[in-house]
Amino acid sequence: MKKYLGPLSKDNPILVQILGVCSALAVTAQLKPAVVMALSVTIVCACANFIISLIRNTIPPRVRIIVQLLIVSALVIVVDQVLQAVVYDVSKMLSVFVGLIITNCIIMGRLEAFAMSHKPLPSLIDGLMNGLGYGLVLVIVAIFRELLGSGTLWNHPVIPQSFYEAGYLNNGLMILPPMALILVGSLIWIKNSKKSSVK
Amino acid sequence: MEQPGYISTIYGADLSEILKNNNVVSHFSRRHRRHDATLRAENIRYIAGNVLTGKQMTQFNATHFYDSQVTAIAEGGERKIIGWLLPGLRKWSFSHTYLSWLYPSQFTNKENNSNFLIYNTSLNGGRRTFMMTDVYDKVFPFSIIPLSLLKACLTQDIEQMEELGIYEVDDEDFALCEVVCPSKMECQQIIRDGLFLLYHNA
Amino acid sequence: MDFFTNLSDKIGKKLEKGRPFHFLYSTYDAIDSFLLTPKEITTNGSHIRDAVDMKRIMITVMIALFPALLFGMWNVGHQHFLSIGEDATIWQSFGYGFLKWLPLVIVTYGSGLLVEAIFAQVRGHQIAEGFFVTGFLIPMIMPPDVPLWIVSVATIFAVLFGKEVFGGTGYNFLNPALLARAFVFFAYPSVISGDAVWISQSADVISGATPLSLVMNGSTSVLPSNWSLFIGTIPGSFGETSKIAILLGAILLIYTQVASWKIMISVIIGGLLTGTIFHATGACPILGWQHLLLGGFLFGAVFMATDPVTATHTQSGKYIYGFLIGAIAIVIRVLNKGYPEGMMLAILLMNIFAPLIDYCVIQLNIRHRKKRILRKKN
Repeated sequence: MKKYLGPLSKDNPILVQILGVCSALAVTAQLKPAVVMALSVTIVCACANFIISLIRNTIPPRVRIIVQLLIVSALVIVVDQVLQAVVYDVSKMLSVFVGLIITNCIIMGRLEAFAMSHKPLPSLIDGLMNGLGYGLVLVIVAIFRELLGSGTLWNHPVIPQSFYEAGYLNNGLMILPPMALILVGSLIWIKNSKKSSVK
Repeated sequence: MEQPGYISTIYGADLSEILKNNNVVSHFSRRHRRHDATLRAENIRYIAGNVLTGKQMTQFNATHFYDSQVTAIAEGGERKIIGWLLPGLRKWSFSHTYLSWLYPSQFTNKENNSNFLIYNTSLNGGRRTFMMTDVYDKVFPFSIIPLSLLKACLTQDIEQMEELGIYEVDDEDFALCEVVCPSKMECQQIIRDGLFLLYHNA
Repeated sequence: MDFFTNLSDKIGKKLEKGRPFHFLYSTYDAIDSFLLTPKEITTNGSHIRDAVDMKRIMITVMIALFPALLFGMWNVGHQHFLSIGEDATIWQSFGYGFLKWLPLVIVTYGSGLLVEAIFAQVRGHQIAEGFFVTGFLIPMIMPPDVPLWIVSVATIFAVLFGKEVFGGTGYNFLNPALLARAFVFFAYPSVISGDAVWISQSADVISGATPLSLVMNGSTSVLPSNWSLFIGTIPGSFGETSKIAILLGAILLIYTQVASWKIMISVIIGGLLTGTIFHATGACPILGWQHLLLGGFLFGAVFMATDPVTATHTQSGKYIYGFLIGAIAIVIRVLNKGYPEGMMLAILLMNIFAPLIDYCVIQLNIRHRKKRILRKKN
C-alpha cells in the first residue's frame, strides 16, 4: 500500500521527478482548469496504465513506444471530446494542453517504468496515484495563483470588497507564467528542506 | 623596532634576548597596551620573514634555516565603536574608502624606520563571500584571472585549475590579493590547498 | 570604551555554542560587529590586512547615494507643491519629501532585514551587509506615493527569491533592488506606470507625465529643457531625477574604487550609440545624448549596473556587459512603448547573461594561455 501512496508525496512526479512541469505552469492560472486538467491526466494515466499492462506480453519490445502512444492518443481524444461536451468553456481555456497530455512525461514514464512490468490492477492504482500526485501540485499552485492573482476561487470572489477599498490590489505577476515557476520551485524547496538527506 | 639592523648569527640562534632589549615603538601598540592590556598578553607579534608571507614566531624565538628576516608588528584586535563609519584618517587601505589617502606620508615615513607603525594584525572586518570582484585584478601582475583560479581551487576542479594556470603561481603570489580583499578571504591558504590537491592527485 | 568591549564579550560568551541561547548568536554577531570593529586578528597567511571591509564599502555606496537622495527629497516636495499650485519654501518642499521617504525606508529595512535575519538564524551564518545598500536603493527607485504594503511585499520577494534562495549575499545573480522594482512593475502595474504616479498627490488637472513617457507618446514639444532635465526638476522617483547629483555620486564611487568605471563608461557609450542610430534612422525623435538625461538611465548606469556581485567578474567582460546594458535599454525604450523604463529590464537581463560573458572571457584567457605555451615549446 505504501508503494502506491508514494506519488502523493515521497515520489511526487512534479516535485521530486520534475516531470510534467510544462503543463503545470500553463494551466494553473485558475483553479477550475487546473482541476479539470488534473482529472484528465489522472484518467488517461490510469486507463493507459491498465490497458498497456493487459497487453504488455504481446507488445513487441521494438515498437512498444508507438503502441503506447497510440493507446494514450486514443484515450486523450476520448477525454477531449468529453471535455468539449461537458465543460466547453474550460476546454477552450485549456486549448492545446489537453492534446499535449499525449506527450506528458508522467504518463510515458509510468507506462515504461511500471505498466510494462506489472499486473493490470497494480498498474491501474499506480496510474491513478501518479495522476493524483500531479493533480495535487496543480491544485495547490492554482489556489495560490487564483487567490492572489485574481482574488477569486473557482471564479467566485473570495477577497471581500472592503479589502480593495482599503487599498489592496491583485498581484498581476501571479497570473503570469514566471510566478507559476517560482511557486512550483518553492514547493520543491519546502519538500527538499523536509527531507532529511538531500543527495 | 628601536634599533633595526642586521645581525650575523648561526642557524637556530635564540633571538629572544635581542628582541627583548629592542623595544617596538609603535603608537598603536602603546595605546593598545594602555586600553586593552588584558585582551592579549603578548602585544607584539614577531614574524619570521616579511609581513605578507612570513610565519608567526612561537615563544621559542629561534631562527630557522630559511629565515633571514624578523619583523615585529603590533597585535591588533582593538575594538572601536562604529569604526566602519568613522573617517579613518589613520587606517591604511588600498582603496580610497577611508580618508587616510589625504595624508599618505604617514605610511611611508622613513624617519626611525617607522613605516610599520600604522600597521597591525587586525583582520579589520568579518569574513564574507566573494563580493568585490575587481580588487584582485588591480594587484595581480600575471595574465591569470585570479578570481576564477581561486574559485576553481575552492571547487577542487583540477582541470579548470590547470587551464587557468595553477602551475605558474605559488601561494605567495596571492599575498597581495589577500591583503586587499574586503571579504577577508584567505587567498594564500586556498591556493596552497589547491596545490596540495594537485600534488596528491599527480 | 572598555565597558562596551567587556559587555560585548560577556554577552558573546553567554551565547557560545552549547549554551541554550546559542541560536541568537548570529543576531548578536550582527549587532556586535555593527557597533564595534571586529576583534579578529590574522592567524594564517598575510599578517596585515587592508582596513576596508564590506561594511565600509556599503557605507561608501550609501554616501554616494546621498546627493541624489537629498535632491530627490526636495524635488518630490517641489513637484507636489507645483502641481497643486502653491508656493513653498525650500524647507517646506524638503520636509514634504522627507516625510514621504521616511516610511518607505523604514518599511523596506524592516521587512528586508526580517527575512535576512530569519535566514541567518536558520542557516547559522552571519547577517551580511548586502542589504544595507539594497534597502537604501529600493525607496529611491519607487514612485513617491507607492503603498507601503506593496513596498514590503516587493522587498520580501526580492530578498527571498533574488538572494536567499541562492545562498545569500554574494551568491545572487540578480540585483535585489531592481528585482523589487520589477516585481512591482509586473505585479501592480497601476502604482508604478502611467502618468499620475510620479508626482506625489498631484491635482487632477495637471498631467504628471515624466519626460520619458512624454517622449514615448511622441509629444516632444512639451519636453522640459535639457537644463532642467540635467538639474532634475522633473517628476520622477527619489533617486533618478537629478543627473548632476548622480554624477557627484559616480565621482565618489569611481575615486574610492568601489564601483567599476568600465561598466559606467560602457553603459553610457552603448546608450549613446544606440540612441544616435535610432535618431538617424528616424525611429526616435530625440537625440542620442538626450536619452541619457531621461528616466533612470544614468541612475541605473551608476548604481545598479555596477553592483559587483551581479555584474561580470572579468575585466574585459565588463565592457561587453556595460555596452549591452546601454544598448538594450535604449532598444526597449524606443521599440516597446509599453515599457518606457527599459533600463531596469536591460540590467536584469544582462545580470542573467553576466555568467555567460564571464565564461566566454575565461575560455578566451585559457585559449590564449594554451597558445602561449605552444609558442614557447616551438
